[in-house]
Amino acid sequence: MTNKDLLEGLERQFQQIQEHLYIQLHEGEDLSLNLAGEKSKFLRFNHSKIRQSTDVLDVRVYMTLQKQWKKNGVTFNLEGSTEVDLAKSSELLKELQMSVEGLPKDPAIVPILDHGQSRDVHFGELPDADSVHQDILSVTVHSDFSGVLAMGVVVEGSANSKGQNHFYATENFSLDYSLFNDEKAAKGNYAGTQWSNVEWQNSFNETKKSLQILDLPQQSIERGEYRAYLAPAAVKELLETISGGGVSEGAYQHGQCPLSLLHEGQTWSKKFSLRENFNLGFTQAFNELGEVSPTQVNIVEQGVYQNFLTSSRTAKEFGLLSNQAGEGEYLRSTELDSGELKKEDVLKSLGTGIYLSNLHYLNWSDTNEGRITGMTRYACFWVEDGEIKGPIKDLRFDEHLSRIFGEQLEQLTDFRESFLETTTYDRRHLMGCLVPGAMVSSFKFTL
Amino acid sequence: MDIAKLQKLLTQLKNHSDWLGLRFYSKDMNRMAVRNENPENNFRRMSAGIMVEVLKDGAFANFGTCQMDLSSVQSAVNEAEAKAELYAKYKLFHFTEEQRPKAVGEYSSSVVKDWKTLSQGDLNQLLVETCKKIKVSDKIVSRRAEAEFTELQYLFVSSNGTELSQNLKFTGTFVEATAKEGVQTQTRTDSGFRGKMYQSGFENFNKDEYFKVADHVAKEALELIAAENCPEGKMDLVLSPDQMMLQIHESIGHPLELDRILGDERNYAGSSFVKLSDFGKMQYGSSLLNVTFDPTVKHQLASYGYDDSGLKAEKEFLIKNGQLVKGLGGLESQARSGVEGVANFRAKSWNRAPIDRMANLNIEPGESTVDEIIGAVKKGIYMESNRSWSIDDYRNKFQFGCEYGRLIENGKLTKIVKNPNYRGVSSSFWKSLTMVGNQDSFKAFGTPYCGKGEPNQSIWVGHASPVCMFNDVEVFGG
Repeated sequence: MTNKDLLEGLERQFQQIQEHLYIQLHEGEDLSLNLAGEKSKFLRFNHSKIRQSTDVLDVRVYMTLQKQWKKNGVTFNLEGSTEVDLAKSSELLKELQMSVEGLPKDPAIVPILDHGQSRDVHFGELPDADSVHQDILSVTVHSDFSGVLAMGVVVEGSANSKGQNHFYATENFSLDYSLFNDEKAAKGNYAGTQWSNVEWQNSFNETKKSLQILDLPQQSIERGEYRAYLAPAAVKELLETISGGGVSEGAYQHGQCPLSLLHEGQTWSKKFSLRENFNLGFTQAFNELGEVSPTQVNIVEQGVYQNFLTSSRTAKEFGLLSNQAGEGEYLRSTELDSGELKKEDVLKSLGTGIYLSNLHYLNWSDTNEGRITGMTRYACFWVEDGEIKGPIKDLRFDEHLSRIFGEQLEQLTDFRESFLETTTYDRRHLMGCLVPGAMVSSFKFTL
Repeated sequence: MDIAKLQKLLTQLKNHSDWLGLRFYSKDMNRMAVRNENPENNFRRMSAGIMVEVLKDGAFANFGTCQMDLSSVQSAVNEAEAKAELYAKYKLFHFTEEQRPKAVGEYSSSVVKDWKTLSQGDLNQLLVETCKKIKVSDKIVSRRAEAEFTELQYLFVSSNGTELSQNLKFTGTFVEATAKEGVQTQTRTDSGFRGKMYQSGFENFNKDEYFKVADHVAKEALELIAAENCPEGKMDLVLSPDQMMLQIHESIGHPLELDRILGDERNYAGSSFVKLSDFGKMQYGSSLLNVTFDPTVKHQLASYGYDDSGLKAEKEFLIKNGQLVKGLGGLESQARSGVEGVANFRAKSWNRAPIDRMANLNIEPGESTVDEIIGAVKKGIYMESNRSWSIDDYRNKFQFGCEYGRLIENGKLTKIVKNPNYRGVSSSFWKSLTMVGNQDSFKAFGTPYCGKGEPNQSIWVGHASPVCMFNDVEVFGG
């Protein structure tokens, strides 16, 4: 079955379930239905060989019943048989109708409303499923290559009994990989919607160049503060950590936001402007409720707080305006403005310091002060007078975001890199970010 | 689904592979959350499907599908067979049926009182009451109580005669209080983020005890707001079992996973400072360190009868008297590495292939009482409940933060301190283990959030430990 056939079938089935359930609603009840599906291929590599192959067909419906300030929800898999799936959905709706009555009222409940209709389906040019392993391994054959190819189609739908109906689907791929020279490694990622063997070869060659620099003698760097250049992949790691509760209005209101000081007037560098931008095309703009986000939501503009992501629930709970953020109030399509530092000037501008290609395993180390700890990973180098001297041994950093993106931020690069989300917990996620590199006057390493 | 139906499905399939296995998983999870006395979330999450696994020419291939009719499963088998054949030339290792031994058996969690004996409405009311108990002051700006109940069924049949049926039931509770004064906030939970999950029913739940915990958590959040920052310096560190859970997980569990050491995880979670040649030789920690892999502990979260290859789950010492004995590797990793392992080849659901995971990974009790441990410390700090964790990709350099700390001065617990953190290096940290608590301080915890693998999968694990003391550790505050 082609992805086109699959999507047509899913859309039809989702429509059938809607029609089947809406007529079973009692007075005062509203129902919202979300669809999440994927047909994915995961091919895992180690030592330039195939370690594991998994294909997945997973289709789920999320059903939420609301009645008079009360709500209850259930998720279930569609089995593909109309008869079975309609019967199952009816049975689960009945259970919700019975149980919702006994629940306490929720004063912050967001009413189910018609947030419009849309249909947005993107077919890409995915590699041939029967030969993509050869396309990959013919390039990596003489390297120690490890990673995962994830490809296929991802579907999101959001409908409700008030008439709303959004359907979004996209085909994409992501080859997230590392090249190794013993314990030294360089990271690469080739992702998009149109596979090209030439582009894959180019990605591989670039990563291999980074690996070759690691052949230089390893530099022993003591803990302390150093000038540092954070490549776009390292900046992305910082922004992903910020996204987890750091820009959530709900977390702020509940006293659990690590960037509360920013919300309360702390200013960062004028060079720092962060926003959510759905024009970047990483994901659909509608959230779980079917609300369509403004195309752009400015979070920080020239170092000054503008908005945190505010879901309708948070807005209702605290008497605020919603910016149609998702329930989790994290960034789904992140954009950080570029600066003026040219690629060819990065090493010269760094002078003597540490070139950070990637960061790893970040977490908040002080949630009151917005301090983050994490590790250097992959190709990170010691640079002296604008010349790479050699790779460093992994270092732990522990630093305030208000310093990294505030007083210590010297420049952002004039180029940016785009990252499609590679996370596949539970299912393939549709998110992404577009970020520049950052030159900082000081970065604190503690171990 | 039951084992007979799955067996019937297997016999109906046209199979051209060397070995065929069907794993049916179904999960039925109910979670309810109340915040500030109002219901925040009530949802039931059901998931069911079949993972088809074939072995052909030494290569395994998997196809997970939620469409479980004969025709759909046959398509999945055909697709998996075609892929196994296609990839055989490029396979990392030549596997055989020895990695999927015939196994017949059953396992069920020990549950006396199913949570379904209470209505969802009653459970919500209980959580509302719990939030009220947390509301001890206007400074408590966020009050949260949650409960989670999960039923998990997994069935496994194969062309070489495996018939396994396992039924697990989990119960988890979570309480959290956040206090705020000015711009300072402090959050206190009952043993860290969702760390209290067990394989049990409602029989172990005591409402009065739960309310006491809620009150305690709230009062400690207030105490933390008023507390000084944790001091900075090298000193003795005493860790409670709910922080030892994280310490074991990150700096013993993950580094001992054989698939990490074999390089499967290098692109994602990372590798390990432990080498294959270290097993049987390496002194991992002090002679007081005894670590067991034990999926047989009644009520601990990650107990089971068999792993997903069909290997029977048994208690095994991974570290004995400080020496590294065995790895955390299932039959595939054992065949690849030549290192002895355990029954830990597990998938989180029908849509992911099994990989090496922790199950219950515990530190065996020692001989010291908590009073003796505290009494032995001249200058140090006691820490409870994890709130932050970070470790390098070789599982060596770590930094962990806790919710609650208390100074230990001249053998006595004194002032409460906030934002307690410590950092160290796994390969030397465990050698600084100087006292291990006895059975009286031994406590078990469990979490459903151990992340690993490509594609990613988050699985349930359990950890139990007594109170432990480490000397000369770098600690610091906010």
